[in-house]
Amino acid sequence: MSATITVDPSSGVPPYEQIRGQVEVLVLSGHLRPGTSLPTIRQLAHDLGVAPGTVQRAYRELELAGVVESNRRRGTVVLEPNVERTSRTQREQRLQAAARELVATARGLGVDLDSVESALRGQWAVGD
Amino acid sequence: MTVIALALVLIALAALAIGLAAVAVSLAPVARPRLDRFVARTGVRFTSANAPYVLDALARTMRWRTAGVVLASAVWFAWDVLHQTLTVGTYTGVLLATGFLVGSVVGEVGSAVSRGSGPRTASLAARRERDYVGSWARTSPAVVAALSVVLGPVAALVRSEPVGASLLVAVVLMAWAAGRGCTRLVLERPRPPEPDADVVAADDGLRSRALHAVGGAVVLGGSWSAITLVANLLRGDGSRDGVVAGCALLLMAVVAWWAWRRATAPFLVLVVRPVSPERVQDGPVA
Repeated sequence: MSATITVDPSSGVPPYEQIRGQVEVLVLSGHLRPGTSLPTIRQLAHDLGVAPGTVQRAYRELELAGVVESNRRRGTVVLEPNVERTSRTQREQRLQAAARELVATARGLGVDLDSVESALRGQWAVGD
Repeated sequence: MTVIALALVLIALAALAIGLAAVAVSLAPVARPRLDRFVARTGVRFTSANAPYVLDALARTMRWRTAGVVLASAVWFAWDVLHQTLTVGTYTGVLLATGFLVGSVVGEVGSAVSRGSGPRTASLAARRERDYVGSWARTSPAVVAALSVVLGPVAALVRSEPVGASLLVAVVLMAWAAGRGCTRLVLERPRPPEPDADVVAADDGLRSRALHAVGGAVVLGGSWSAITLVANLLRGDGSRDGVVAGCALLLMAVVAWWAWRRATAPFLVLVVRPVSPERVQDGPVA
């Protein structure tokens, strides 16, 4: 089963940021392996019902962050996650983005902060 | 009544018959044998979940094929009326076949997927041509285009007819480029929003069918042009050009039909998943 991402148009987070954040989390968590080709900009834009420019911006930011690489022949390809290459500011920004997304999802589901914290601790323990 | 007047009456009657047939075909529901053929070729389970997509796609293709033939007929009749003659020959057949092929491709490329206003989910798997058509169907349009590019200059040099040969080569190259563009449109068109496995399988089946239709149209058109170029090289006094071109068209139609029937659909390996009990209860639509 391939990895999926979801874009919520009613969320306060811009759609390009939702795409960028989810792809980045999937890469860092190993769900998207290095060398995997991502869909073309138009394919993903059509499937998500967003403008191609939205996906293009998400891909560009992922490329700037060193998460993916754009190649004329192979398209957009996932790179090996490299935590050392990422600056402290970038890491902080990514963490904030992931947190924003988690909060938006939790609010959408109507769960409180304690439940979110409990879920986070559970996932953290799985990671260990 | 003069012969010309009789010819024009015949044209008017033929136009009326084609128009009425087109309306009848466009309004008719999708025939069960067509649906059975689609299910048999793709291996897709026809269920209440994917029925709207499958039926809409099959009906749309039939409408566009009909529209292509009607448009080609209109061009044919307009030509005859303008020139006050009645032409029935090889090139009339080529015109009608072109209308049919162009209509088929337009119908297959289109999509009627609509999206709601809620959250939208998409897979991050890149859709590639090789997931939907076999290697023969993938490479043959390029082979045919390359063949025409090689044959064109030879025919032009040997027969001292650069204009006709260049025109044929240009048409083949344009058809090939259009085919590439249509392939991309088919691969990138949106998936239905439902995560249902049968809907996804039907979408993959329709995508495979569309890519086969696009490739088949390019190969058929390109092969006809290539064989016409060969006939140009081999012919003697040129008095039988029409017959040679007609035979070439017929031969290529038979070969392309046979080859496409044998083309495999590798996507089936990717999309067939175990069926959940609730889907079994839902069952295929009788």
